[in-house]
Amino acid sequence: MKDLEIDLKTEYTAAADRLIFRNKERLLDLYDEPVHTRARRAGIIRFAAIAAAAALLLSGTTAFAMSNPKVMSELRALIDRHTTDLDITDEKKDELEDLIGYWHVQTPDIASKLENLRSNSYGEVIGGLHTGDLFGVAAKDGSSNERGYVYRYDYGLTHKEDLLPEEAAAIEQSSADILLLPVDQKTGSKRSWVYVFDFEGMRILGKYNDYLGFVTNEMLEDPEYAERMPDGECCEPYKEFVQNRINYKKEHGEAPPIDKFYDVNKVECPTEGYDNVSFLLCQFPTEMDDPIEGPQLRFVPPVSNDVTAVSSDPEVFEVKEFYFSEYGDIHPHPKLEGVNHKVGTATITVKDGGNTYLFEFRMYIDRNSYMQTSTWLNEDEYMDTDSAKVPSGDSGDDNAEEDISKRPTEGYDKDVQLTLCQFPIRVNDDQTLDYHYVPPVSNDVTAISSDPIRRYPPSPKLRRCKPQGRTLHDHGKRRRKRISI
Amino acid sequence: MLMRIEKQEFEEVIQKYSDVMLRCAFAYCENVADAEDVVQEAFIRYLKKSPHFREEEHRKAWLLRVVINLAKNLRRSFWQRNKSELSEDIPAGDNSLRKCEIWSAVQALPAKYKLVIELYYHEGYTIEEIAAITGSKRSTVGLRLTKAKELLKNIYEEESV
Repeated sequence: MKDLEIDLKTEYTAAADRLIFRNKERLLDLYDEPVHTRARRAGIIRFAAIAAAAALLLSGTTAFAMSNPKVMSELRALIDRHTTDLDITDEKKDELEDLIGYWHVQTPDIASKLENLRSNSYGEVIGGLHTGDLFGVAAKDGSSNERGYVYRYDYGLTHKEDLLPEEAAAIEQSSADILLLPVDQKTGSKRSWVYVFDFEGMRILGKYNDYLGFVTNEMLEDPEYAERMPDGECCEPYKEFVQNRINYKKEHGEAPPIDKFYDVNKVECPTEGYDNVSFLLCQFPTEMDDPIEGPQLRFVPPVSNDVTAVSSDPEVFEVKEFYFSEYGDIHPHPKLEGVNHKVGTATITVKDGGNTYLFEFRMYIDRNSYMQTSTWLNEDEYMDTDSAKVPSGDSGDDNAEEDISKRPTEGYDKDVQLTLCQFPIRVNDDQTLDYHYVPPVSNDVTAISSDPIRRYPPSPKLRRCKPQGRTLHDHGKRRRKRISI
Repeated sequence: MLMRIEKQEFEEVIQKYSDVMLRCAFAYCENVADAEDVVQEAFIRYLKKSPHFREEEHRKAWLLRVVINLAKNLRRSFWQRNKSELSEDIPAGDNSLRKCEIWSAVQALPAKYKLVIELYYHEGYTIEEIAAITGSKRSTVGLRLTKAKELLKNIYEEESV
């Protein structure tokens, strides 16, 4: 052992001395460069790479493309090219977009490839990937037309070729970070759902079962919009809806209330037996631990009747306490057309081993009375000693350097997602909220009903949205077993 | 951006700590490019946060801690865990490191042991200081150091056989 000690103190240290940061000037550049620019660029690059990989997975071309050295080296080379300078030019964006497009291969056998990625019991979203920067989802609409989409809009990286021009424009205007349109536009098959994801916050901002959220005022200026919508029986309710809105605008000179022509009986959604009931499926995608097994989710039992927390922490932690500390005013969502946005501050106390941490989260409510709330451990919260709350019982000394060993990062790190989902289903006229919690449907899916009577998950039959060519029994077979506590 | 750090101070910090930060990151990343990215990101955090430290050692510990966290994140990311290995474990053109037996042996250790070896032998931190930096218990660091040396000894013995 003595020789080893000597070797470590001499030879190892001498060798380690040769490992130096090669270009310190580059670091110094950080001082002059706006940090957000750097981070933004890094985000784009990371996104491009991850999206490409995810798209490969989702496309089903080769489920294990990421283990293919050739693919990897190509991606690596591209990333390297983009790390050589700091500017985010339009050309660079285009190139990145091309990259994603290049890898975003559609293949006929996507359905079979994605079976293993099935992530909920509804059948619309049949695969999902989440990394720190990407939420890629493959979806199907109940027919044989499955498509996988990996979207990110905030940097202008997207695939719009499958969208109607008006839709693309509306999406641009909405500035939504991610949209998933699980429909094959080219064949005009049913557009069953539209999900809107907040990329950064891993929130599902909304789930629309018609065009409510995307029929913008600008669209209404175009009387032919409805006519250009895809043909097909399933689209008729939407066409009618849109046409009604257009007519209303012509007659009244202003857009109708968002729910003016909303007729649940004409919309293919799981409202059967519920009347005008909002029914929300809340899914909690987190990082995929295994491309075959899919997202490894850890469900945390409900904190209260209206709050469910889900963690991707492999060691499920206990949600001890939850309370709202503040409600904000309801106002239009800054990003989403027709979506009301209510920001409130809430605090959750999470117990992890012997430590207790506090987190804040925000909530959003859309005008259809759906609501999503979530929280996550973002980088700043967990990296910054000031914003990250130290374990309770701490001395209270807020000196950053004193907190180094006490940060609530142990066991969490960045990958861990803590998602809180609260479900006040209805925003009443007096702006109060009604809550109706429905127990989880599965370990990673919670269904919420606004029906004051039906407070439990509907039967599988009711939950299924227009089964087409597949029995519920088949569907259940494909459902993977989840880890639960 | 909140910019309370003077440029000259920032430059000094880079000169002073970027190498040790790189080596700590390298223990987890196992390739220089990723380690450099981690260091760069740590400095971005440093600029954004502009933390105040009472002692210089606290600054160093803060930077190392951030690097370790970031490196862990990188390693645990989906991307990292699913990519194929690229043989880029040392700087290009510096083959002398590969030839260093003890260096290669240390690199074969799990990251947590590599980090302890680096901080203890190369940076000269005490076990208590390492515990503070890594957020581990003192006993844990001590055990890791002992275990690392045992593993290294085994590697030595295997090679001699």
